[in-house]
Amino acid sequence: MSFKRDGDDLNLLRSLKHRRVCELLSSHIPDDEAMLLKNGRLTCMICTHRPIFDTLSMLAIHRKGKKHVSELSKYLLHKRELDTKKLKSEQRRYLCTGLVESMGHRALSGEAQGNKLLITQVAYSSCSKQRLGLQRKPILDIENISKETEIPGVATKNNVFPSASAQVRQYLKGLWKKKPLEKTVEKCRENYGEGWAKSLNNVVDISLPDCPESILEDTATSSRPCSEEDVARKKKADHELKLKMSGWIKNADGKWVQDPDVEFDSDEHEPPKSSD
Amino acid sequence: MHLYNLTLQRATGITHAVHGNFSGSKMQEILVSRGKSLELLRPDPNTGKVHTLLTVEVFGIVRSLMAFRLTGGTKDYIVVGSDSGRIVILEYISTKNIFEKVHQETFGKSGCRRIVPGQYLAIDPKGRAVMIGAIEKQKLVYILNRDAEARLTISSPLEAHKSNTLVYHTVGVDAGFENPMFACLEIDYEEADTDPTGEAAHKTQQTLTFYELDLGLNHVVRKYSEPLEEHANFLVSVPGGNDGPSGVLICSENYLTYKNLGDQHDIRCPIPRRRNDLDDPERGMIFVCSATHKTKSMFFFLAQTEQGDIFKITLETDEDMVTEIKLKYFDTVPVASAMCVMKTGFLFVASEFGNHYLYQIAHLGDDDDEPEFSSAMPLEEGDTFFFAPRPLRNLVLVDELDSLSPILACQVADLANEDTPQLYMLCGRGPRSSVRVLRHGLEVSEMAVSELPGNPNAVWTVKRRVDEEYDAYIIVSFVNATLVLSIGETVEEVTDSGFLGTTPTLSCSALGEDALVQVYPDGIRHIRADKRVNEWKTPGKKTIVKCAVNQRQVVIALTGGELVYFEMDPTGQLNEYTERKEMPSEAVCMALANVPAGEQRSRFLAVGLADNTVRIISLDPLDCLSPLSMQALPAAAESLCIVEMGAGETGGEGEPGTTGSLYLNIGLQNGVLLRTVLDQVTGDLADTRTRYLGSRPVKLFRIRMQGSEAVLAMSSRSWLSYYYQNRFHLTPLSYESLEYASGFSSEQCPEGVVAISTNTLRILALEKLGAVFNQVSFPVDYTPRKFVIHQESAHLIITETEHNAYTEDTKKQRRIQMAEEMQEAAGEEEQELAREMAEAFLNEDLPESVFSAPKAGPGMWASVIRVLDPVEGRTEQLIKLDQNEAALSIALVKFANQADNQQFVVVGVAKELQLNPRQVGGGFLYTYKVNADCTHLELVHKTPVDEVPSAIAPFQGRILVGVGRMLRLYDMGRKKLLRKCENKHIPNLIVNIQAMGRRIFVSDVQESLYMVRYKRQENQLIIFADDTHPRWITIATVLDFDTVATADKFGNIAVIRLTGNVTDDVDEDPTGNKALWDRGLLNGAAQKAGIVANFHVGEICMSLQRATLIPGGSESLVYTTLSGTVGVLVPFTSHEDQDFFQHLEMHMRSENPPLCGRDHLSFRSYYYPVKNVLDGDLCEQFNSIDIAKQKSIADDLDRTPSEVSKKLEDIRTRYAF
Repeated sequence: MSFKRDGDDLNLLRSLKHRRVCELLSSHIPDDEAMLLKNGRLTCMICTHRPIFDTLSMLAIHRKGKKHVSELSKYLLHKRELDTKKLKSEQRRYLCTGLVESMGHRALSGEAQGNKLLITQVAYSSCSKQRLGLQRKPILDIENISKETEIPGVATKNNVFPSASAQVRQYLKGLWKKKPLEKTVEKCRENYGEGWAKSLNNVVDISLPDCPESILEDTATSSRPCSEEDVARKKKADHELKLKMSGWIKNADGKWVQDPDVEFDSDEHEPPKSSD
Repeated sequence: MHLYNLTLQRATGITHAVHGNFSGSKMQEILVSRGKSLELLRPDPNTGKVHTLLTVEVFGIVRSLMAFRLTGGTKDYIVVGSDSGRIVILEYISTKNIFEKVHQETFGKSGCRRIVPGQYLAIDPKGRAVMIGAIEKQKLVYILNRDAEARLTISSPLEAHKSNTLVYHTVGVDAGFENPMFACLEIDYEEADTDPTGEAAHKTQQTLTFYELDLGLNHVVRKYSEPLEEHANFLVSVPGGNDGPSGVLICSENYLTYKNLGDQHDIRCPIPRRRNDLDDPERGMIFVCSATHKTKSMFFFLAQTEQGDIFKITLETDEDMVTEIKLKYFDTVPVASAMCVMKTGFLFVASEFGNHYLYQIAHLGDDDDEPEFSSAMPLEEGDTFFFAPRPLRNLVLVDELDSLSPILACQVADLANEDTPQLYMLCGRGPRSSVRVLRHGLEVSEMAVSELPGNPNAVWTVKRRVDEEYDAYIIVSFVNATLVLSIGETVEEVTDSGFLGTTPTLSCSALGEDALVQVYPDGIRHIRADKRVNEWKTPGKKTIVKCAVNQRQVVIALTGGELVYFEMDPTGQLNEYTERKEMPSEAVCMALANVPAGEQRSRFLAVGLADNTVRIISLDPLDCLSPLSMQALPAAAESLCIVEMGAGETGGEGEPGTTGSLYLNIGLQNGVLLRTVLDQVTGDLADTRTRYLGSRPVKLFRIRMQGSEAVLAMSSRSWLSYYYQNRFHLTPLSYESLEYASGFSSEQCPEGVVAISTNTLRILALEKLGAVFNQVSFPVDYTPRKFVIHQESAHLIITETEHNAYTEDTKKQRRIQMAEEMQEAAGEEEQELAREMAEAFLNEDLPESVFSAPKAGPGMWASVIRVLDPVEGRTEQLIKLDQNEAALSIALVKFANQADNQQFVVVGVAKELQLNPRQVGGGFLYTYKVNADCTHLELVHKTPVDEVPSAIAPFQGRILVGVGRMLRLYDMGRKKLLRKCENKHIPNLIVNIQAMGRRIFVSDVQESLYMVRYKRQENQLIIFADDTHPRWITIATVLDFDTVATADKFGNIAVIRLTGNVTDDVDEDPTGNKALWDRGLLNGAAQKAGIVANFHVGEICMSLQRATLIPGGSESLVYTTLSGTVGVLVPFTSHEDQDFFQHLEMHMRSENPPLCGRDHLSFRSYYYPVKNVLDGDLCEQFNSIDIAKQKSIADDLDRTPSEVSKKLEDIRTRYAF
């Protein structure tokens, strides 16, 4: 079977050039509000019905539409609710366990999911005294988060929420700071086929331990000789992980207590000591 | 990923069996349906062995099967009711050995539907009409007739529908040559359906309805309907017309009733029960299958109860009015799904589970002391007769057909260290269960082994006369002598045979009508029938190095590569051809084909030379000893053999079958066997197939197998190359390695092999041709459910669990209790007698595998845990669990917090489990310590759980247990297993857990797979992805980190994969920190697995495993099914292959539509559209279709038919056998 080509190469070139110019000139679309699909098309991540677009310019046109704007306001509303909920839950967890979720890790995982609407930075907090064997100190600081990250919706301090349109406006103002989608698209196009290699690498991944050991991995993989301190820290982290896996949790005072949902041997009142 | 489905062994369970003269000869055959294939079997009346004539995959579900014969005809046709929405009439063509579709009439949608006919078939005993019925409402009647050329015709359908009616069974009533009549067991649910109080549902009675086909009006009427007192389950038609009283026997719970139209009263007889049965006496007894035997003078029925007892039923008549039903206990055989009584006096029993049997009916049970029960004997309502079951008296077992069905679990492993892996299977149900070890290879039965004085080099057998049936002499050649043994009642040495005994022999053969020839290094000895001997001596210092001999020709190669040709003239004289032929180098092997029937000579000589070539030399008088063709070889040839293979079966009445073609088999010194087609006209060599057989040079021997030629190839292992059912088979023999062999035929062993192995002479028989596996079977007590392999000691640990059963202890208690009751019930005078009876009852030992186990009632369970050595078949330990404990899952674990290498077995046990409605009284996890050589399990502790522990898997030094719908992580504790973590989000019941790295794949009983990740830091199990289809998973296996293969209870296999952008690094969501819009639909996981492949197997797969089946082969996905199929899905390695087979499959679909009328594509897409799987079973049918069609398909593929079949063979041998 053969296809008859209509038009000549010049024609094709011209149309490609035209499209490229259109793409360059298209308005700024943040990376997390649209997604490049596997088949090369684009979808809007704000609209719940996930419309599909062939080109960036089509997407740009969509983004200016009434439908999109109304979806955006709904989206922001949801997001705010969830952010609040999340903060509350984090707070609750902090109160009962004294643990602060490792935010660096969270941010990383968020990025992997393409869900970067949440926290992108980790700030210092003086109220957290625990070190989870992390180089960065995880914290819980509501104000900092809401100030430092460009999340206009989260206004936990005052109970008066801005109106929906105001929110949208505020949100749109902050848009230009985000990573533009074009770059991602370009990168994808350049690195076509790289995903394969990545998925193959996954297999190697299995043997790697869970994320908190990422530091351990760092020490292990980096060429610099590990100091005694590193070894001790590694041991400690190991021990803590072991305790957590067998159902011990740290309470507010930093003491190990038994998780009520987990079973223990009847004579096991104290957490086992580290081997050294 | 593209997969190719190959069946290694077809289903072995039988769903339907009918018998008849399908080939049109005097012989009766049995046609069996194995679910989705039809197989024609023929019991050999002389040997009693059952041979398979033909097996055809129909790519549809056979729901009913009937044989019929037109009035006055001699040949039976086959009617098939299937899920195709079509009625199909088949005829067996014995000359071509195929089933031919005579008629195919469409009447409804495809699929097994409630109101589309296909479930029931009834034939008018005179062969004038067939009724095909659905479960509900619809019944169609087709009139069968013949046209002017005596071809079968079929009418358009006549409807006999009645809505709101469910049908239980239909049967054709024998009304002689009156209008055809059909009897149906029906129930009219209309009233019950509309009555909201539910009273009507209780009152609704089953009816027996007669439908009459009025041949004059061409119309079906519902003639008569009568409500039945008991609920019946099936009908038996009673011979009518001149042969009997007509009417039907109604088999219902506890009673057997005779009914007929007209003035006939109902005759009713209770079904006798076993005396002192452990079964619940309140439980009703039903007949489950029956067989009718009819001769000109008499008829009787054999009906089997659900306990396996067969009763012979006869009817007493008075002027065509039945007065009495008589029942007599006949024998007890395993419960059958169908029975056939053959004219030759055989009873074929197609067992419901396990092996099938062929019995010889030795006595009809007419004149023995067995009591006969009669409907005329007065009995209270509810009372019944009693009989005592006993071992076989009237039947004699003559053959057993292996059946794996049902296979409940299978693992491929090499535990016996044989370098070819074995398949370890749990088969069967109840007391007939077994653990079977399957090995690739043909089963060899050793008929005799005798030691010889020294190590022989070669062995031959010869007949004294060409027309004799059996061989007369075995000639054994040693280094410096030849021994001649004569075959008679015994095998003994003779000296008067005329053979020269003081020299080694190169070859010997019968020559002409009644002469013999012996070739030895210094000459040729021609022994005439009157013991005159002609000798031909080698010239000068030359000796004979190689020779080839057949019935009329002798060719020898002298040292230096000179060929001398002798041929027998009409006077019986062996004459040397005037010229000799000098070959370019030394001859290393030679072969002659057999002389074709009716010809003077074989026209070709094959010579293997030392220069790594094989040459074909003409022996035609026109161009005698001139070379015809040559083939270069990769290594020096060791042995040659020309055989004629591929010939069709010769018909029963001597009509010639299709002729085969000549094949030159070349055994090389490097252990490779080549098979090349030798053109019968030009002598050209073409289409070479290669197969590596073993490490030693390949020696080839021509033998006869089932009437056609076959090649025995011997390397480090012995192989048999034969043509069977339109396919070449090259199968290893499951026997020790042999050195030399020859065909052997004697009265005791008509088709055997005589072979030498070191210093012994062995007579072997190969009976189960066509079988891919030979099996060793070890019986077990209860239905084996799951097993694990202890790799270090190669032991199996098996859980056996039986529902509706008593444990041994409970049985013993019940027996004692019953014995006591017996004694108590007896009067004063009978005390002595009662005690004796009680004693006899306690000592009674009837094997449950034949007499079936007592049924204890629903919710009663018996279980054992068995440690088995599968090589020796020795049970090392048997742990009996308490009554009502059901062992459902097992895993072999090493706990991280225990000593290194200490293994534990964890068994999940449910207590008081009721299946419907599902209720459970809790469960336990039994933890056993395994000793180093796995001979003893020591109970460590018992962990109570609140639900059914239905799946267990080791995971990172701990265990994951599916407790009902909860997924839990347990660690080893001191007094019990300690629950460390739990996930409650699996919807129904966890049936399987697989783990790879940090990922866990959990199968739900009806909601497919859930991908779970264990987060160590948070000590949480989090579902991060799931499947998009609701699969009812039976088994799942991990293929790689992202890919899982699953099988479901509707007979599908699917491969699902997590796509590249799925991450398992997600957070759990109890607090709502996951985005709302990120949550999947209907509470599913946010990320979904994609489908890589979908395929409908058609049978329920119970095991899936990634395994290598042949040493050095590639991995494939091996599956086994409940019906006993062993199959593989093999991945395509190149796009060209995939493309080729895709096209072949496409052509086969259009050129060779399935036999029962189901569309192949829609069958393979029964539940999910078939995706990325090509059906090798269909592609391989290429070899059995018409040559012209083969040619046209091959042309479309730009290849020759032989190239296509070579490709088919290649892909099979690359992965499996």
